[in-house]
Amino acid sequence: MTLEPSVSVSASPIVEVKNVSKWFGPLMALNGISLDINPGITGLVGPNGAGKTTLLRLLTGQSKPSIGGIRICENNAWSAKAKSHVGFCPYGDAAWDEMPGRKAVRVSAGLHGFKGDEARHRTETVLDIVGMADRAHRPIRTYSKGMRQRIKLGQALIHDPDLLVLDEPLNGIDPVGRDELNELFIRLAQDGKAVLISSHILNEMDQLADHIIFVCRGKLLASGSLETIRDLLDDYPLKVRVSCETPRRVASLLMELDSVKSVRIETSDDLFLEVQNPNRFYGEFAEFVLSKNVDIRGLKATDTSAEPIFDYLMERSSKPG
Amino acid sequence: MKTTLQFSLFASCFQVFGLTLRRQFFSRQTIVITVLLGLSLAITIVWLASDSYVRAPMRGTTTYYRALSPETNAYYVVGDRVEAESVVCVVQGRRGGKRELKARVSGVISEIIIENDFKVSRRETLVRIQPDRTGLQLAGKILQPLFMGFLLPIISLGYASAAISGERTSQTLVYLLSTSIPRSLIYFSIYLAVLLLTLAVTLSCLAALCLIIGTAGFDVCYKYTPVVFLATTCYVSLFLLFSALVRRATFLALAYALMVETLTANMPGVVKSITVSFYANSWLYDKSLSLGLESSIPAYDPVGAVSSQIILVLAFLSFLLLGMWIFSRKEYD
Repeated sequence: MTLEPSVSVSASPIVEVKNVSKWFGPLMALNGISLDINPGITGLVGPNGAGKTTLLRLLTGQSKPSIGGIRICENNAWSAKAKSHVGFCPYGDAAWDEMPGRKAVRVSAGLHGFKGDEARHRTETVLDIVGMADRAHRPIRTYSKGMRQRIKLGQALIHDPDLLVLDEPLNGIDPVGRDELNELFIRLAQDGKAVLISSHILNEMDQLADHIIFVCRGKLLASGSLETIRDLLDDYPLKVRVSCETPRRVASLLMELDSVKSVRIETSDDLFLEVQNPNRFYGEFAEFVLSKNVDIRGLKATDTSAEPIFDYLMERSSKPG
Repeated sequence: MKTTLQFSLFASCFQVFGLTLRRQFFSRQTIVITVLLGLSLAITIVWLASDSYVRAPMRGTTTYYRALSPETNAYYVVGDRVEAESVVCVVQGRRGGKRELKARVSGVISEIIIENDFKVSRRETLVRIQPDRTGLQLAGKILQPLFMGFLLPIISLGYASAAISGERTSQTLVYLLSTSIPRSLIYFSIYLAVLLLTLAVTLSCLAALCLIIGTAGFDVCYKYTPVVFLATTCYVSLFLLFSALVRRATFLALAYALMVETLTANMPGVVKSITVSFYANSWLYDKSLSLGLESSIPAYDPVGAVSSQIILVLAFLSFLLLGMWIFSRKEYD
């Protein structure tokens, strides 16, 4: 079931961000960001405090850029007109707790100016889309995080917006719920909507997004398709701990691999490697273990969190060229 | 760009109106206000039931006169009417000094505790008088200090100052702000909802307090209604402005109500002319002159009724417009 598109899709991007900076007092939250958002799923990735939420709030007209301009379907993002093109699913689980889910969606329909039968029809359609039709009679305060997220999504979808903005929608949701939501996002993107999803975990966006925007410390680090980002990450140095019986011998042998930058013997049976281009390293390492017949007990990457990746990208972006 | 949405701004605003009305009515404020109203009614009932006493100022012998001449020898008895200036009793001291005791209130003698020609000691209670409760007294003793000075600002404050800052605290304001209703209209719809609710509560409080003394309260209720109406409108627009400005608006509004409205409004001089209550009281003073209420209203050099009305209307309009302007430019998180 789909809603009729409210606006014909034009050739220009749905969102145009031009040289936007935003500061709160002395704190610079965003620094000269320019980007376009087109139909499809766009992942906005960055560590906590990178300025993701600030950027989303600017896009949804909750706040105004200090300098620069944001246009949503040719309207200034702050204007009331732009908001009829935007559905916003804010961070956290704040909602009208005392209302049943259906009522909350119905109120959102009312807030967007739908009356009577049309409002009821849209409410049911949207509840079907987010898969909450059978549970919508319960008050929101009894809902789980995933159900709240669905109701919020329903509220954001009620006026069939061109741009759907979701602030950390997958935060705190179990893997099954996550897969269901992801499927939903993909379906919405197939309907020609631009879906912008923020996350501080890169892996969440890996399978989902067509396009990824990296922000860190208020700056746009990288922006592009998933392939571009993968290429970019190929050179990312990874620290790996190798446990083995004979560390000295293994260390000397490992030094011969191209992808290994340095080897450090930490304890009697632990080695610390710094490797360039993780993907190539894993391939070479598997071959190495088979051919040299060494006794390896364990292999573990020591920093798999997103933060070092962002630091790395940050460093790269500050280098000339 | 052509939209096929059947967009109706009025329906959106009405939804904001309904949502606010509902949220504010089903809130803690309503419970607090109900409790306060109950207390006020209890105070009024206690006041109604309380009697006035005449006590002996010194040791001596009592003599009750209906008239001031001892020759008539007519004593007051239970059920007699007395006026404030009536001499109910004369106490004659042992050395021949006489003291006339006035009733001090108008009413009906309900009990003569010490009969005629008895010896009494100092401060002994002689007569109990059940005072008349007129609309005038109600206005002076209950409505003025309790309703105008306390309940009315507190009710307006409770509903208005929590309206926007409450939505901010519960992080649901974003749902209103992500709709395509112009922000100034969102503010205006919230204002109308809060105003309607506050007016309904203040006016029914007024009616309840007035009608408790019976039909004598009708006239007072009638005279107070327009003043209460305009004062409520003014308070609501002021406190909603606070709510649009700061997150903890209730504290600011309470501080304002205590410091400015209560303290400075009762001070002589020009400072009081910045308060809403001063103009409301001035208007009441003007109205109550016809009721003969001069002594009960503690307004110092009040301004005229017309000018206080004009000032109140201008104040409420400017608070409202300022609120709409601020709300449409401010960023809420």
